[in-house]
Amino acid sequence: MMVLRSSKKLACCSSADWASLPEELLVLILHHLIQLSDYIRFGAVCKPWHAASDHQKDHRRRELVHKQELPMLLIPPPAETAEEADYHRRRLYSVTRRKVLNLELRVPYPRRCCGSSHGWLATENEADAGITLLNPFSGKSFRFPKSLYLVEYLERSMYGFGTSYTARLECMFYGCGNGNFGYSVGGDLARALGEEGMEKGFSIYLELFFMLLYLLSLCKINMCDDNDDMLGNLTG
Amino acid sequence: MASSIENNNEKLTLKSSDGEEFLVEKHVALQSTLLQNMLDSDCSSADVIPLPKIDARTLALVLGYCKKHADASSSKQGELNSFDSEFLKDMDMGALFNLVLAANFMEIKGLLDIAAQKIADTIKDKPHQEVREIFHVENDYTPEEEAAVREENRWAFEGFP
Repeated sequence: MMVLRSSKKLACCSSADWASLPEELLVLILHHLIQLSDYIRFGAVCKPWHAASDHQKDHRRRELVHKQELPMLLIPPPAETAEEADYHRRRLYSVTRRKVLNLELRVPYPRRCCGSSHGWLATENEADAGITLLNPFSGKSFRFPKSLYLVEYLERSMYGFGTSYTARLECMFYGCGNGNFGYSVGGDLARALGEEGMEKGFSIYLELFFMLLYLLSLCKINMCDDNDDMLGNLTG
Repeated sequence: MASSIENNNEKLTLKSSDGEEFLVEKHVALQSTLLQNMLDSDCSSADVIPLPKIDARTLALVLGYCKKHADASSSKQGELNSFDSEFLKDMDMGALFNLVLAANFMEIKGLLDIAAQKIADTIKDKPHQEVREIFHVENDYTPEEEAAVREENRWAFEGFP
């Protein structure tokens, strides 16, 4: 490369307007923000940046499943005595930041956690051995009885992108317990529910993958645990 | 002129927004998907290709990157990696801004990626107020709106001002 001719005019670059960076570039930058907390704070910088991160939420959620972010641990808050201890409260410990976040969540202590994903905890119902999905961030929960012949249509907010983020989760479970549906470990939920589910036009989301695995475990089917936990959990 | 010389030393001329012209070897220009497409279609290499959105300073940087990567086929990947990491190291934010726009416009994926990585590295682990200062981004939130954004994901702001 060589300069042939120059009309020597110095360009000024004081016009760098980062707020108005094209969205495709903001999105590219977001792809390089691995930590979810960085991603979220990115949106707090200004409205155009928030819009970009907002538009990328769905993609990000899918990506989280593949790009492993270290999960945070749920830990009980410190208590001097057993009386003082509130077993319904939990704090978050960030492994990457090596600190306990000053934020308390409520969890159903007596129940055993049997899985977690994307901020949702799955806990066992003692009464009927079904499971309850609980989001400790939003406080929302959904209860699934064991004998499943149900078509559930859920609409709710997802942790990680805040209470304003409404994800439509359409899920369908066929005849759990008689083991008549196929699945593939690795995220292909469409196949997990088989052609029949797809033919009926149900969209399937990865969020409930772990739940399917759990249900399959009730069916006593051997499987690889490819559970992509975002939120680890310690149970009492 | 012998055709063999033409084939081996094909060059094209790029013109920056501020009128500077750069003579670029074709294999260097091919790092840019935009230029590649132009060359593949009808654009004759004798023509001057204007790049009205890219100033000379930025174009020189971009072409430096392209040349290194175009010539690197025989050199080691490790060498390229260290070149990449040095390339943006002490660049000021204004130059980085122009560079990322230029890389996007000229469709130079590798350069775009390292620029985006650099920007992300600048942002991560910092409070959003500090990010605003670094990037000279005006806070266009009202205090109430900003509080609402924070409240949505309070945990992500824990430990930050």
